[in-house]
Amino acid sequence: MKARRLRTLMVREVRATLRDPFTVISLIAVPLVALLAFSSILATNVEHMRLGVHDASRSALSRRLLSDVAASGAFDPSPYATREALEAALVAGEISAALVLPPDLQDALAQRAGAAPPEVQVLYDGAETVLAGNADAFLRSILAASGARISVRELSSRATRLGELRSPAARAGVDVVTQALFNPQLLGRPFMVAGTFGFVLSFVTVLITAVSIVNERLSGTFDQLQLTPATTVEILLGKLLPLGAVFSLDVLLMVVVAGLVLGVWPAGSVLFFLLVATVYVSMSLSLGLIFSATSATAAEAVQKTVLFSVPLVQLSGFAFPIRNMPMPVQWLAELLPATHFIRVARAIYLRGAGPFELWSELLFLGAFGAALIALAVRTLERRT
Amino acid sequence: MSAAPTLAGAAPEIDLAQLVKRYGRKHALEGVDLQLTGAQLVGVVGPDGAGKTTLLRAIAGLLEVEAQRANVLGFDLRGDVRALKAQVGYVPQLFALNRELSVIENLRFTGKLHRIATAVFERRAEELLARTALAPFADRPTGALSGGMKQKLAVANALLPEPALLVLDECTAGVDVVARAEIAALLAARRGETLVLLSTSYLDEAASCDRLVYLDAGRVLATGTPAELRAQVRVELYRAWAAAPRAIAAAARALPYVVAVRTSGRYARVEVAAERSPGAARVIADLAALAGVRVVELRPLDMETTLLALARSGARA
Amino acid sequence: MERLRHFATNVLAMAYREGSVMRHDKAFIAAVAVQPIVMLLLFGGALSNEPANVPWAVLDQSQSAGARRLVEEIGATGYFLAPQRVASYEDGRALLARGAAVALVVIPHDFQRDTFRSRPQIQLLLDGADPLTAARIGGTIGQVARKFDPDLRSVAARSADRPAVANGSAGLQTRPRFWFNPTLRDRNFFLAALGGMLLTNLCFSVSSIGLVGERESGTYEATLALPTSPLEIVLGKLLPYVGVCYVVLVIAIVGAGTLFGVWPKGSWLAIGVLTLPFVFASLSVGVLISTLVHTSAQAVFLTVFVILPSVVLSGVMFPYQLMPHGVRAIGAILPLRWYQIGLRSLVLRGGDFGDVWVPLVALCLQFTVLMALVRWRMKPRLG
Repeated sequence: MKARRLRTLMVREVRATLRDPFTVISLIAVPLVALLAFSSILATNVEHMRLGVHDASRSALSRRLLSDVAASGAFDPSPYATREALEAALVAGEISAALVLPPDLQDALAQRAGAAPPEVQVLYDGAETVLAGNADAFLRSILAASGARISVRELSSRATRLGELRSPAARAGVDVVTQALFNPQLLGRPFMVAGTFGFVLSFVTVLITAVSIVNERLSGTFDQLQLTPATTVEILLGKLLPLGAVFSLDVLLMVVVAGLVLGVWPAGSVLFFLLVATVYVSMSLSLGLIFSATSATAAEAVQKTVLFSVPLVQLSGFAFPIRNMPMPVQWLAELLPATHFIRVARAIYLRGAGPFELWSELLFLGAFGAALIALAVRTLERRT
Repeated sequence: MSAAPTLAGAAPEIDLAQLVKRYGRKHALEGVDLQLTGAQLVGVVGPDGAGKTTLLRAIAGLLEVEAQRANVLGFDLRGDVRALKAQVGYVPQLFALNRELSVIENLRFTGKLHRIATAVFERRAEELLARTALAPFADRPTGALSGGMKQKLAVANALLPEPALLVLDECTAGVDVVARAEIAALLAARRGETLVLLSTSYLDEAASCDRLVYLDAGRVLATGTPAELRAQVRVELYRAWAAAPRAIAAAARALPYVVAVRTSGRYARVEVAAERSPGAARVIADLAALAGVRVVELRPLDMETTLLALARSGARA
Repeated sequence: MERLRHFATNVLAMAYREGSVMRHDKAFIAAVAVQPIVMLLLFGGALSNEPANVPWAVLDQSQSAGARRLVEEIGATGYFLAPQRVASYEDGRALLARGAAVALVVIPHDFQRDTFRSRPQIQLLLDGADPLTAARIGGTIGQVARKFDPDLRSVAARSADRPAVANGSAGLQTRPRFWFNPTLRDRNFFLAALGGMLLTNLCFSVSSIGLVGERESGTYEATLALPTSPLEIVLGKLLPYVGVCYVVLVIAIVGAGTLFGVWPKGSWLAIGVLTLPFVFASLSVGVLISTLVHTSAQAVFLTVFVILPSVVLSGVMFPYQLMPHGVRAIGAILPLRWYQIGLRSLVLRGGDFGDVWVPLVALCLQFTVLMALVRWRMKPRLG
């Protein structure tokens, strides 16, 4: 293998890649759009959720309660005159949650001693599971806090002793002091940003590689190159190395954009992350090579890649945690390199993990990568 | 083939003046002037990239064009061309019938869009399939036909509505001799009934046309019968036989009146500019004097020389 | 009138041709049948946000009966694997850092003592690297803890006295109810809108790839030379796929019903009506894509990258209500956004026409705008 010849081929490849506007757009726009879109879709909080309110009590107390709910910023309460109207709005999906304040709210809270506390009914649109789950936790904590404050005021204005007030609550339940490590506000953003690397490198890059090689073959430039002294391996390396370099640059671009635009930097070492990503890029290249070798046209290569990659991304834990899947599906997921890369990316981005914590994942990635490259080389040998 | 009622009275006519077609900044047609009258076989010839395909597509009503005048069969190409298309059969350069559909399904689709009554369709389809010897393959997927059969089917498909104007874009390119002859027979049967416009790069096909349109760089440089075109070309053609024709080419080119020399087989074709020619006897003598030349003869102009001479004059213009 | 009849017969002739092509295309028929089933199994059986098999750790410094009972009660929620006991705080944190546990529950020394004096406290450390699971687990453990009565002896007394205090911390008692999906199953959420995902995939790809394929193979040129117009060609070509869409929709609905028991609670007719403008709008998106690209490969490529944001931003998989406002507005451009809103209302909430008129109008509007765009981009003749 001659270094000069290889360099000539690589320069030619970089030129050809950069000349095709479609490839350039896919290389820059697709990863960035994926980054921006995915980073915003997962949320554990609730903001400005439409909350229907039927206030049958119409008391000073209920108004105070509602203003507390509104003040949180999580909910935008809108009043409904009747319970029927409220329920209809829930069915139509106009509101995602509803709060029903009973007519005897004020009285129930006033006649405190020994009686059951007033009951506030909350209806959720269970059709929106994530939303309802998030909203439930939020609304309950707001109501609990507000209710407690109100009852303190109500009762202390009646000159009741504080000890009496606390007694019903004090004996029940255990307080939980919660602290989330690595991501104190439980933001979805860093989680999804780290996963997006896995998505882009398991899908977009495979696609571009496959299409680029098939197009080369179709346009006959491969055959022409075969007539020059370059060997098949040289020709392919001349194609793959620049593509790999471009993809690695793509990762760097994504890291920078995620950091500057979305404010998400890796908690761990950027260099370590880039290194792992580059190793993973070599697997995309091998996969792309395999797809291209078995496809007659570019469209076929794209279709194959899509058919293969979409379930791969779905099962890799990119959006849905693997541990929530049935056992056989989990075993399948563990066999996918994307699963392990996404796990590593998240560990580096969120937990700041280094090579020592991740050695088993890295080992798997390395072994799988070697196997894939070997398979790609064999596919080629059979073809030539 | 039955009489074509659509055609009985109306004289097919193409009347183009300063027809221009731009693709972005590039001009594919730079002001084509062309008048064609009567049912005849017209060949559109010219070098690659001359605009032959563009001109044929424009005439078939497939392109937006600018022009001073652009009438085909009495319809303006710049207006609604639907009524025009009802009277035009068009065969594109590459085979373009649905490969997944069977032969008869493809024909039926064309029949439906041309609103041919079922009974009429059945009769014409049967006749066309018989003429093209495609009848045994009526139910075969079109993609599974051989190249020659595909082209025959494409022409038959274009003839199905019995069009007043038939436009064929290199429809015999890459087709074997037998199929080409069959297609020629199909077209010959429509001679006198249909204005057939075909672009071709086969010289024998061009020579057999009633009229030729020579197109170069988006302009019509010459029109006329093959004989008229030959007369326009001011070239004399000589053939110098030699054991090694290549060896004499350079020497022949050095003669002041020689325009071009090409070698083929055992002779060299020597073209002499008529206006500079010192007379046939002198040319023959000069050529015979070259080393290695055995016999020199004066030849009548063939199609190849005619077109090449036209191409040279086009390049100069 | 004559023109209209010609228009109709031309469109039908195109539809006849496309239908014949489709009939010969075994791969397409297989894809139409297999894709809904794969997606059904994937979203009905495999993919879920509901926490399951969650690894967690307990640092029990109190070693009391109450602490053991609390751990048991947390485990009984069914979300968790068996707890890993750790001996020190550092060990627990190390488990979190390795990703070997999502939650660490720390029960302090004075847990038991506090149950008699004041309200006891436990500490919960969550792995924020997995925010969605962490948030749900945090909520679940919080609920268990709130209900937990560390003092067994008082249980009898309180159940007589104050039956409902358990649920609220003080003052107010909230009684949550999850309508339409009482157990908050993700499966119902996904399956209700599965038809939307499937039809988006189908419509975008058949129209964009199909039309570019016609252009590439030259059949578009050949057809345009016949007495017809681009609009007739495109409409006729896509018409059979409207039928295919309904077949896919029925497969998806019946599959979700028979396999997972998620039958539409609302009007089937309304689902059928709502689907029509959605299918037309989605097909128009594909047509628009076809006018933007030159080759089939580019068409597939672009289609994939239009389908992705459609699925992601429309709310079909992730609640759009929680997305930032700008992103939410972008999502509102997508037909799938409105279709999934309508579909969820009809399938899960038992809605009828009256409940889906907003999505219905939005879809019709989108179709109109898309058609205008298509007519603007699509040239009446070649090149």
